[in-house]
Amino acid sequence: MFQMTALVAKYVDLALILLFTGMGYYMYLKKPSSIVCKELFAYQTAIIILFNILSFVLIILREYHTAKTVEEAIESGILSEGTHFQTIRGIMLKMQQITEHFLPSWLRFSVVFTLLIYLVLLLGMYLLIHKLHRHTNRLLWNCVFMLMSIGFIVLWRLDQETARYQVYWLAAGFVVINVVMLFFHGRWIWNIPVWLFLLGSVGLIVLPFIFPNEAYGSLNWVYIKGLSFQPSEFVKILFAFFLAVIYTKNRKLYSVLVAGAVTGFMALVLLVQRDLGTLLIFGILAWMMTYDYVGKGYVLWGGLILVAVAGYAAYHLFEHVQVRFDIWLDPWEDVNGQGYQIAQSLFAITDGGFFGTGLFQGSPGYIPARTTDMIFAVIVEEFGGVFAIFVLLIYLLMFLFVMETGRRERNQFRRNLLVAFGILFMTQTFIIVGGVIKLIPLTGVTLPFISYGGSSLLSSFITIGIIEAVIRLYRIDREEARKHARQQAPARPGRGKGSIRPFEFDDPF
Amino acid sequence: MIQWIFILLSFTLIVWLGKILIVDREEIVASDYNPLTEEKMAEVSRGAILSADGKYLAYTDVAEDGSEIRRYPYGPAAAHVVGYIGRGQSGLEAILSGVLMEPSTLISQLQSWASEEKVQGCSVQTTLNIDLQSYIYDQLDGFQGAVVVSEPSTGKILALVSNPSFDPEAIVDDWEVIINDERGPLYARATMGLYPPGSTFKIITALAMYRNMPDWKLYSYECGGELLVDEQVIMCNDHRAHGYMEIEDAFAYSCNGFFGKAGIDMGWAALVGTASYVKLGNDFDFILDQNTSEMHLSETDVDSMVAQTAMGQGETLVTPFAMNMLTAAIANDGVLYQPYLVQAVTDAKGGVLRSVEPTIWGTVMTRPEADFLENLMRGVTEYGTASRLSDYPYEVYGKTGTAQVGEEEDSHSWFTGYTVKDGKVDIVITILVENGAETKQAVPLADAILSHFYGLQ
Repeated sequence: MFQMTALVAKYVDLALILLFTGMGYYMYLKKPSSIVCKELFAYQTAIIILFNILSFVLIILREYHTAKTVEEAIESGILSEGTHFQTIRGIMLKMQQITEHFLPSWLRFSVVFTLLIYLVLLLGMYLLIHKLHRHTNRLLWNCVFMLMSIGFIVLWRLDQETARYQVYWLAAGFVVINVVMLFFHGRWIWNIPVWLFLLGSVGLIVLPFIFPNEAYGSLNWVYIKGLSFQPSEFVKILFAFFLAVIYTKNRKLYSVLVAGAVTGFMALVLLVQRDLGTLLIFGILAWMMTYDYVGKGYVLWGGLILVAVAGYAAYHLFEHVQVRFDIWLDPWEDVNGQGYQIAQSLFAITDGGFFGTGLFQGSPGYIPARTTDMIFAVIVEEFGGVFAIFVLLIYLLMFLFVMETGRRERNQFRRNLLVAFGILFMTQTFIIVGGVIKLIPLTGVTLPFISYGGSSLLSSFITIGIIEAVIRLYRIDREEARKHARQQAPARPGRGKGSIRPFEFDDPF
Repeated sequence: MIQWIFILLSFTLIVWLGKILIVDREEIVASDYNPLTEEKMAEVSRGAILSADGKYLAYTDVAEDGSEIRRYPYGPAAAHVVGYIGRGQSGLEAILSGVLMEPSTLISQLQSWASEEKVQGCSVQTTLNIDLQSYIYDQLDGFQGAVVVSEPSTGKILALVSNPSFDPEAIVDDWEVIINDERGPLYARATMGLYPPGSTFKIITALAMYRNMPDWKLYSYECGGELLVDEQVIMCNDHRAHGYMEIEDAFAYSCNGFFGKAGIDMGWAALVGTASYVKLGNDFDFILDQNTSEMHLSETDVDSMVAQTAMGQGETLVTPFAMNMLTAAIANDGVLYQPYLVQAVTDAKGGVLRSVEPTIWGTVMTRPEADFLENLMRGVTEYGTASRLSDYPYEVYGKTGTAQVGEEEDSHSWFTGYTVKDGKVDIVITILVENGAETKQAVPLADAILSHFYGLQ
């Protein structure tokens, strides 16, 4: 019974994401009137809600299914009582006892609790956007919510504990996003001197050397007083700011040289920290930003040659780079050792095929780092390749949209910032998805908004918060300009000002 | 511009994902390291492998406690074809694993979900005549060798026997014994075994004469029992002097001197050219693994080597399967049908889901060439080395061979031939018995198999 529901849900999910993405691209490409947009945004939101409801139904059914199986197992003596039903301790215990009184025995309190928090979060955020953060863009929010919803259900499917922590991180993220958006409401923030960003990024990135995290055994985590995080996730943002500021200057050669030097330093530190994924992101970001700034084709070709030379040198100088590269070329050589991760990813992907096994129907348990870096493989396995392609298209849509908003922005700093964040998102997505499907060597970075991880999620939320804040500033400016224009030149029927269009496609919010 | 770069990258991702799911999928899923295969086994009940008449060659037996055992009712008789699972996989069990584990229909998938039973995988119907296969296996008892029986008018493989064999059901328990057996029971001699062709190679030499000597009809040789080339003596069987020979009699009596001399007169290129013309070194796109036959002869080889090759010794090695294909092409007027072993994929109840139609693999020789060889092969069974097969109610054509393998050992015994029943080509049979020239000759074995097949005993 449960399997059949999963089978049906699989196709419904596919239809939902198809509609969602279709509407998004329709709005992006056709730029219909604000009335149409408003309606489509509402439909998109409805789709997100439907997607979540469907996922909840599956989760609850699954709970029922498992509980029945466990019950049967206990009855038949295979499983002894007390080995399951982990519960939340402390204050919750009291709440739990009360709630459980009303719940059927097979439904665990923690399940209901987590789902409820998640639901409240979604609704709360939705209301906030409407009431508190007016003038922000709903297309971006919708995309973020859609990706988050997919991430939540996939994480739940993999491990409920992880999903619960993800919900806590989402809550933290929502707080952070509001703080960021309030923060960036002010104009003073755009006048911070460039060296502050530089100091921030360099300071943060060398932090793991000062406070190493021995528990994780890796060099890119920081451990300070019980709190561990990955600073490179936040350096990304500061680095993007740095590039955005330095490329507003008119002294082209000077700017490029400074940016190049800083990027080189960052790359070296990351290479030592063995964080090749972030290294790639930084490199590509700097490269693309420089191309955007200089505007000459030779930057692209020069960068390509530089990448090739640097890659060749790194391959011969650093063993871990070489290992990564060799696995990529032939993962089957050492399939139970170095190639294990990518091999399991490919097994999962091919198991899913174009239409997936259906939620809870696959066996993603073999994939290492399935909740973080490799989550895309799980999506392909259970939701199917077609669904995964639509997920990619959502990322692409977000990127294209951010770039478009960047293009119309007059303030050079804000414009650069939008472009930088757009590139940051898309590069990160490309690097991890390309790695998971063995298009490029696998390097560990997270899939924005979907992967589990506090640092990654917070950093993604900060980024999206800043993007929305910039959009809001643009709109406020535009509104003021309109008011101004109306006062200056009253009533000239039939003729609009060329610089101020009466309507822009992302108007409804 | 930056937008376009990333649009391009995104589409590369999509195309690559599509490539993995379309092109690479089969290979990745079938990988030995794939942990999901075992998971699948827990969900799907492996389908059966059936003979042409619907008898089980392999099926999954479910015990009362729900545990599954793979049964092979015919045990070693068809072991090299059917294969085994449990200790790795081999044979059809390995090659068709995906099909056998594939839920036969969506309905059955849904039903099994509803009833919480295992999904029944697809079954596979082979072309094997299991009665013939078992009979041949029994006949080979005590000897090492291989027999291939096929139907040239369709390409169906009716029997594919290799001996020694093993019991696929006992593969896990007896693994050590089986792999330490010096006779190599896991080795599928019918498709993998490379043997010197002996006199059966004279089919190719005769064809080379037909193609390269305009006056082949007039070509003659006075056989004194041996031929001296480069101070090397090439003897006829048992040192018998055949006397004056033309091609028909030389072929029928398998005169080594005649073909050795003809080989030298034609030159190495004619032999190599004809062997490649009849696609000797090909794998015929057959489903089972096989070695490809090989022939080594070049300009630098001395005359004695050319003569040796022409009469079937030298460095030529062929598989019984390839010899069967060559014979099938002769039987079918030069047209070779694609050899196949699986004729249908069915659901658990026997409803056909997919079926294989005979297709032509290629034209191996022209019709006059096939007729020419048929005429020669008729002589062999009428009055030549296989005259034992002359008084059949059906026409039998064939060629025998005795392949020397060393001073000490007894020679391998070959027979390859075909029958024509009511004016239509019926079956092709190829037999190889290792070291059987003295004790277990291929011709009497062919006699027994044909008698059994036609119910003449």
